[in-house]
Amino acid sequence: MTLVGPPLPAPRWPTLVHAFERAARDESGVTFVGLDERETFLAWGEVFDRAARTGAALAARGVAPGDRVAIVLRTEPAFLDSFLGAWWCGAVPVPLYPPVRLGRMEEYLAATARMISVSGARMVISSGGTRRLLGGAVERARPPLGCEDATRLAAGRERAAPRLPAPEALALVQFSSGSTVDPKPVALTHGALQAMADALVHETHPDRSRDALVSWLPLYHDMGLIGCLLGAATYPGPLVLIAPEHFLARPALWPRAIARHRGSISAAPAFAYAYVAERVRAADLQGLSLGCWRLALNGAEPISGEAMRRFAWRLEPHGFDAGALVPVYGLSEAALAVTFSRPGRPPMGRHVDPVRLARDGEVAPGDREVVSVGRPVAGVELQLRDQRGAELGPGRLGRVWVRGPALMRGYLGDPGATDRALRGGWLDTGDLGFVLDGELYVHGRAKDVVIVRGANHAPEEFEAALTGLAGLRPGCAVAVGSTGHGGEEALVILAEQARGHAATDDEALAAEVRRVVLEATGIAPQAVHLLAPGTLPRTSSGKLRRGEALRRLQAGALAPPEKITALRLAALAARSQLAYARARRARPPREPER
Amino acid sequence: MTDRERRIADEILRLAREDLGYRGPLDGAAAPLAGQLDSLVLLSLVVAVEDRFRIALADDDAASTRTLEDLARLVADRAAPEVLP
Repeated sequence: MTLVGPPLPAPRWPTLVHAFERAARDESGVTFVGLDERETFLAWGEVFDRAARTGAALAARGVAPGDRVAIVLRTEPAFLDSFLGAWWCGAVPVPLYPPVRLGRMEEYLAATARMISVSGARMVISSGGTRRLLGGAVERARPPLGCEDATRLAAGRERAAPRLPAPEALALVQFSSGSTVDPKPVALTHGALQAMADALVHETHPDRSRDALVSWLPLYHDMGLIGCLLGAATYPGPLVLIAPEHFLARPALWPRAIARHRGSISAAPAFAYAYVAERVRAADLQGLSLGCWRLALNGAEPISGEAMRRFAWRLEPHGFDAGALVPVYGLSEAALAVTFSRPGRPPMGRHVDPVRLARDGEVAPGDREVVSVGRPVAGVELQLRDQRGAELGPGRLGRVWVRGPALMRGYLGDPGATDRALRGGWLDTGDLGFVLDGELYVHGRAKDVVIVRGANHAPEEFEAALTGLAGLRPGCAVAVGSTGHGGEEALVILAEQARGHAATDDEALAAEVRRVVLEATGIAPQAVHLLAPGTLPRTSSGKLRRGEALRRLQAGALAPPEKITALRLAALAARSQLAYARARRARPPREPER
Repeated sequence: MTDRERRIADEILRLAREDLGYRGPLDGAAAPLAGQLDSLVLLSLVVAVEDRFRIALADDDAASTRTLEDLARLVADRAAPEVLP
């Protein structure tokens, strides 16, 4: 079956760059909130003026239209200067994540160097200590125009007029997951970003007289970048930004900024709602009024109904309306949003049987809550298909396919991966789900991605950490993202033990697995399952099948192959003879041939 | 570690436990933090340390900081005496 979103309204402008001239005259702007809640305000006019100077400086240093420019900056004015400055001179920004700091620098530099190379960036823009640190990555990737300091670029006196791009021109390269093993550069055109911005405006109905957008999301990825920064800059309307690391250290900054700025729209991955409910202190919420928050969008990872209710329960005394919690679904390859649910409903899901769903692909009543992510946004169509590509009806678990004007052009420089993802104008999201009453429920995925706290990770990142670990069978471990009862996804490691490993050491081995994965990746596995050799399912060519391993784990069917002995072989043969005999007896009389 | 650094290390542990809600064990001041704290705790710990001791840690400072001992030493070098425990 196909779900069809409302028609996309006529484009407001050919591209978002066309919107800047008018937005520059608006009196709203962006407010940066510091850890101590001190604020810096830049009107959109100033933001675009700085971008014009950065754009001129980039062009003077040899950046030509269509060149990719990697940007490694935190949530700070310099990010806006560099991103918009790149657009100003017709270049294509490639935002990369800044270092997480303390340790793991070698892995970070290797991943960054790889992303600079894969994206074909001709220049890297950074600043201060980050720029000094990036030396190692720049040396490896050797972008022809080197690594520039954002502060110096914005300090020039020259101003360039923006180069207005064609809608089909490349606008942005963003990485769907950033690892050394498999970074996937998603290439989006200006037309796609414009269509997404229009769809978001259509969905959220912003109103200049009362709406303000508040975000602590990283600016180097779609939800914070396209949904918040570009949305607000081109709408235009007030935007309040908090650095993600500040939110993590002091989660109360988020609701407090919403109350102070009368924020009405704010989005975050599911974990953030649970994090606020658990970590914010009563004293930090005292006197806050959150009745202004009309859309609390929740996406980027599996959605937990329980976490949403805990959040609502915690903030309702401060005027927060639980009906503002709006689960959404999207992915970088679709430039952000695919579906939006409607506000005004209690944060409740349906209860299904996870085993029947994993085993038979059928929705049946059970105890696992799955939350609806709603209907397609404007311009988007969605289909559920089985493995052979046939459309599935309601209540059947299948792959989610998406079509619309905001899909990626492809993975940059990877026609093979692009052909696997895009078929006949449709995107295979790699996610699994089902449709009931015209709404999508996402449950599990067919692609090998582990989503932790809203960020996508290639499983190879975690598996590589286990290479050479004594006690494990080499190359026989998989990392999967498993959704638990709370509805939140967590990293699970399934690893086969080496033959002859004493079972008494299981606990120590599991602890060691946990430690090496955490040390290499910054993510602690929630569970480590040690398995007998040969338990993990493989393809005919011997490749490990992660999705199938997870499906079997969830269906309680992850078991080692039974040992074949002479006696057992004889028993199997006898059983099969019996089965043949039964089948012969049960066969209906053959119809006479005509 | 000097006495001063040990007091700073204790204070950093207190921040992790009381302010950041970290509940796991820590192996000791000389063990790499990256093998013990996940990236969320690590990232928020850096911010909390900067805030508590009123210092700014640039990314290249942090690059050479692997253990609690390293972090305590960095704080001891940078922070003003009146904010130290």
